[in-house]
Amino acid sequence: MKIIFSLMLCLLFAGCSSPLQVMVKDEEGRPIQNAEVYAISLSITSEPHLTNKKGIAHVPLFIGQQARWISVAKEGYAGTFFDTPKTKKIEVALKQEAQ
Amino acid sequence: MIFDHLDNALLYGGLGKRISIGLALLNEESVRDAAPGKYEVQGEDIFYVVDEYDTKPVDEGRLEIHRKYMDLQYIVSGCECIAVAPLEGLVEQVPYNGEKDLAFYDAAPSMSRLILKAGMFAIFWPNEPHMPCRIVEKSERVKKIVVKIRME
Repeated sequence: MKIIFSLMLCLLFAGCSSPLQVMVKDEEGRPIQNAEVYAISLSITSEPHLTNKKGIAHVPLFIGQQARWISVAKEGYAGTFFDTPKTKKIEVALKQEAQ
Repeated sequence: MIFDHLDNALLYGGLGKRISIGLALLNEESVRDAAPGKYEVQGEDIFYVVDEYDTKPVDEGRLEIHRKYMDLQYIVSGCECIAVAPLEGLVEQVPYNGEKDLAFYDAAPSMSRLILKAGMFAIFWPNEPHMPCRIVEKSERVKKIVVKIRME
């Protein structure tokens, strides 16, 4: 019984701590490096997670509570945010701001 | 914005019934002892969120505003800095989203800093930019209650 309970706890923890892969691109599909990706709950915003050369950041979704929203920002682009997806990967396209 | 100790909550009774309810909630042991999560008081008009987290550097943060809800932020344990700045002149980072009642602005060079210790609270009205959960001297564990009070 204890083993089953421990396994259930492990599975629950693994589900909570599994990071979301966010790929950030511009409108032409080019990856955006150093975009800031945040996980947000009703009252907390995570630290920024920067995208790499491929435009990818891995964002933990448990920030004291489960994140409700994800926001993406990069200077020169219009920032955005959206509901935390149920999938483990998501692509986001940022629009360049008018100069 | 209001920044004070909960011992002085009665001073703010004239600011409206919902704010009084919010402040009264924080005097309840069951509320302060609550586990992290969201708790409804008057449906979506008044609810509170309990969080436990480690404070983060100011330079990793950004300012946020709400337009529909007021934030009543109360520290149960630990100590944190909340940076604040007037909305005028801030650079919008993520535009306001009405469904999420949230917008973000870049950190401002001339932000003021509130230091909240256990038992202290700050109230942020709609459109008052604030950057909560920041380090005072070194990162520490904080338990906080945020009472969300609908203002519209």
